[in-house]
Amino acid sequence: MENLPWNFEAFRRFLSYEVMQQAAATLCLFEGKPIFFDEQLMVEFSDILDKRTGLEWLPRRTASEGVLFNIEGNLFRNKARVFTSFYLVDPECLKVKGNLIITNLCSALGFGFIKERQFYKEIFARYEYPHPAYDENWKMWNEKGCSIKPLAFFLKIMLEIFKLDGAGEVSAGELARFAHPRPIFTEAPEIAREIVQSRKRQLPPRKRSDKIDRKITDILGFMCVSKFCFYYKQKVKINLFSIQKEEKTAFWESRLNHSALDEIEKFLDSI
Amino acid sequence: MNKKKALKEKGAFDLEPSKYQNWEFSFNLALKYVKKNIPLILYGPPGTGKTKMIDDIIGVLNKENLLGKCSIIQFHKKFSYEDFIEGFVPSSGEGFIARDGVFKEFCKKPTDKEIDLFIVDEINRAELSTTLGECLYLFEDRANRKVYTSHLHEEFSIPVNLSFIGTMNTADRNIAIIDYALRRRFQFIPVFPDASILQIWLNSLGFDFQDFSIEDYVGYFQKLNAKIKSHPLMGHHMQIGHTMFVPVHHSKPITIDEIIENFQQVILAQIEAYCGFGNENELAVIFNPHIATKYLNKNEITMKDFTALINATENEQ
Repeated sequence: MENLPWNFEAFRRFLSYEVMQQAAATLCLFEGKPIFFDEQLMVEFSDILDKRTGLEWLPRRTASEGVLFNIEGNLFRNKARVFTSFYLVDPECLKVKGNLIITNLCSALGFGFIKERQFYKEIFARYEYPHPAYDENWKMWNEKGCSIKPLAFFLKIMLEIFKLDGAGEVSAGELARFAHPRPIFTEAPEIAREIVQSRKRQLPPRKRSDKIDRKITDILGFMCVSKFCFYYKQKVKINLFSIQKEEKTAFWESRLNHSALDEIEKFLDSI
Repeated sequence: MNKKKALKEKGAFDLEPSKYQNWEFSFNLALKYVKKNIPLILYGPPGTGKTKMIDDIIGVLNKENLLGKCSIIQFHKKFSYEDFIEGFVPSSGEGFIARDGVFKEFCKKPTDKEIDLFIVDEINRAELSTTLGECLYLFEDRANRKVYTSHLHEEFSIPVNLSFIGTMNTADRNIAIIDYALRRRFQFIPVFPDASILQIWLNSLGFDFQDFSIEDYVGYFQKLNAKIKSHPLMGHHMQIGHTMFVPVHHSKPITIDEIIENFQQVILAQIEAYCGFGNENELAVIFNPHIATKYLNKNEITMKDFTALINATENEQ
């Protein structure tokens, strides 16, 4: 299971609720249109997307400066997986370059029916390997006959660590060493125990793998964007503060008479 | 009309809207000109409170005991020189009689107060140069200028203490253009949508629901107008006035049904008229495809649809 690919988009800025919601809204405007073979439509899509999200989706590389086109090609060539990996666009329509096909999630998100917390829960609950947006991932995980929801998996491990040590923090290296080789959701409590125990002894050195460690870092990064976690020193810590939108206080949870811990546990049980 | 063309047609009165997004600023400026008897025109999209501004100006002048007499008329397509200055009208018996128009009549008997106020609503709906006639000359240097009118050859001048206010709806491009000779004689004061006025107004009424707050609603108003301003088919003269975001017939506090009905009957309808009736693509860009389809198919926009729209627009840059 160690050789199975873990995929996650590194474009953290583009994965927040505010950006994805507006990206979905833009995708909704072009649903069913032949965006892949109509240059004018693609340019229109690109312009609206940039305007609505406030981000430049097609990077301007220095090699594009002297020529009348962007050498990155079009936006879909560069950032398609941001849409497909988050289940907004059907990856098949990208392969056949047909009309744009969006998902029901994309419509609901684009029209504003999904709020922020709900969006992140949806992604945590859905994001799974084998993932249809990544061909190699889809093939290899299916061949192995196993599956894992990496976001939910890591959150579960952090929750179990919290129950053991009251801190609930973990590093990318610890997850790479203990969780990555055993991607089985039900083993999260055991993995958490091993991580906590490993901190009391000297561990043999581990060669950092760009493929594994970088991907885990990207996943943890998104978990922090989602506010389920936050960065704390060199690690990532489970977020048990519910931030009240207007007051932006961390003490809101006690006034709600329920704990964030309960909320996370109930959510993970429902997945 | 494409964006380049829209920019080229910037009128002489296209001031920087950001300075004048404050209704209070425009009101104070207008009052200053009225007190100095300088003729002015309040211009802007519909629903921005131009008429209310005039009412408030009258209120201030009365309070300060400056106001003599006041007259309000509304121009329309058939309003002519004969109605405004002088002309011949059929008599009750036979033939025609000479009659002074409303403005000449007003000017003939000035009071001894500092300000006699003459108000023309929708001033650009009449054929202005024709209707105003000799007034173009008379508005300047009033103490010294007088003319003989074209029909009755009577001496006519505009009293020094006369203050003139016109209002002009600039959303209708067909009638928004004013010739430069006329432009020169008036001070043009923009009256544009003001979010703070809307906020204060809604705070005084309240909402009887919790699906979204007054702040969210005012935020949506601002974002909608920002989209309209940058839209190539519309522009800042077609913004939705803040009064149009308050249901005409409303309870206190305002109910969600009143808000949604107002959204459908007033706001959506107005934008549809600007974009072209049945233009689903443009409505989809301004709102979203879901709202556009429902509206054009005459389906009811629900509370959930509208709340989702407000929620989604919050994220728009």
